[in-house]
Amino acid sequence: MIRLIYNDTRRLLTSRYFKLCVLINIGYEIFLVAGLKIVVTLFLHQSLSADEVAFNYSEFSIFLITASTLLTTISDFTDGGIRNKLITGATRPQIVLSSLFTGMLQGIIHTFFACITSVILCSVLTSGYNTYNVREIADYWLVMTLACMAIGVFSTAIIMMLGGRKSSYVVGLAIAFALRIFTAYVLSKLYPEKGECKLEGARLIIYRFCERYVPYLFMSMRPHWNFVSYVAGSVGLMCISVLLALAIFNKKELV
Amino acid sequence: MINLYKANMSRLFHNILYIAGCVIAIAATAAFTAGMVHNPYIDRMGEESRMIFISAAMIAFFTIFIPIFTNPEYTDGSIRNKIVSGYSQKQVYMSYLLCHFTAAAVMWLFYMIGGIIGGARPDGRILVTNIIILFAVLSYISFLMIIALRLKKMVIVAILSILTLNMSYSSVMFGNAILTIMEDESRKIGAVIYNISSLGQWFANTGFADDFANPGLHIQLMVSVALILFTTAIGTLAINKRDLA
Repeated sequence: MIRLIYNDTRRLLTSRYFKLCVLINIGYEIFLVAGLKIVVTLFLHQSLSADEVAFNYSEFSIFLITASTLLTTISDFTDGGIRNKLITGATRPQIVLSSLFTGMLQGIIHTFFACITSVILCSVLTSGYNTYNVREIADYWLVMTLACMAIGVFSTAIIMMLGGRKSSYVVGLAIAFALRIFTAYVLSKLYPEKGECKLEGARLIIYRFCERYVPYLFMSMRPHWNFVSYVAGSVGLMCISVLLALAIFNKKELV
Repeated sequence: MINLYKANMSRLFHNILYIAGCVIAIAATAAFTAGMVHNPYIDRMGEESRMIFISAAMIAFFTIFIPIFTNPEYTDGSIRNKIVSGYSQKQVYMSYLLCHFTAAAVMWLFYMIGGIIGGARPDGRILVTNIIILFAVLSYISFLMIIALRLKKMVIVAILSILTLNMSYSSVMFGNAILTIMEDESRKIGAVIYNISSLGQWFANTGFADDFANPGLHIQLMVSVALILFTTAIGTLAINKRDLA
């Protein structure tokens, strides 16, 4: 097991696709903050507050992490890596757990680089925080790390379940896009721009549950529930992903 | 080239994903247009608007379908067989482009039938608006074809296709915000840029967007046709000279 994790992690860290994704992640953060800085300074003639740019690691990260896990995990199926692992004596649950660990690691690494880039840019290009303090910013990045870990595990689990089929290339990304639209819809219902929330009954309970416990929805809002909810949501999604991946991959026919 | 097109069409009409897509197109359009799906936004719309609202599903469908249907050309090596048979890469490209255009047109026909079954009045206005939607879908397909046939790795094609859908969605959301703060002439130019995205044309025709987001049906049609010609020119640029190894 340790050998497998070592091998997968080494492959991840030396993968050029993964490095490219990290660079895109950093580039996206720089583009957003520098772009906003130019717009606010040159066109609106105001100073840019860190509050406006500190929380923009949002929907893009979901797509990025899903794409990153797809790029690095799918090669196990196309290059026959799974078969080689089985031949060397690794069991199927070990292969799944090792891959899911790598997916989780990708979530952590991407969030880490985004956090470092964001903090540096906020201190260099902005006039500082107006309403938020360091504790709240740290809270935000902690919640983002948890959510990204869960998303990394979930998207890797989808690839492990569907691997070898053409659908494995698109299902994870399609789910990420569908959840992006769902998130926008749920949040517009719970926090309408005009007036009060008009939801009631089962729909209100379901939407609030989604907003509180589904990691895909954490990304679009600044943390406002207690930390235990976010931990429960992220760990819950990870557990479901692990169980589903184990159950399906164990019975899967490997071509 | 006709033979390549026929071969693709034969594959297309045996493709289970496409058949399922056509069945869903007719069923979902009929259900939405008849008002079986309840939502405060959708309930306020008329039958025709509900029909146009669901047409975005065709864009989502082709985002997934085009990589899955087109990329086996490289993974199965069938493009090499076609080259050996004497066809050029440009002919392969054009045969796939026409095949996907036909696929979109057939699915659009099913969508129209579904809309009429659901209660939309089959008058001139709804026909013209839906022809605009068809051309928007065709322009989107011709853009995806550059990705699907110029790149050989399936994983890259899948990621870039869905990134295109994400970017289209983001550009519509961003465009809605920007257009409201623009004025007069700049807003007219902004509306044309907004309509370059096929989702922009869709959104402008659903009735959700403000009136100024729609620069007129003839401009939308011209934008789509120009985009089809431009993307096809880019897609076939020096295609015969590239290495297929």
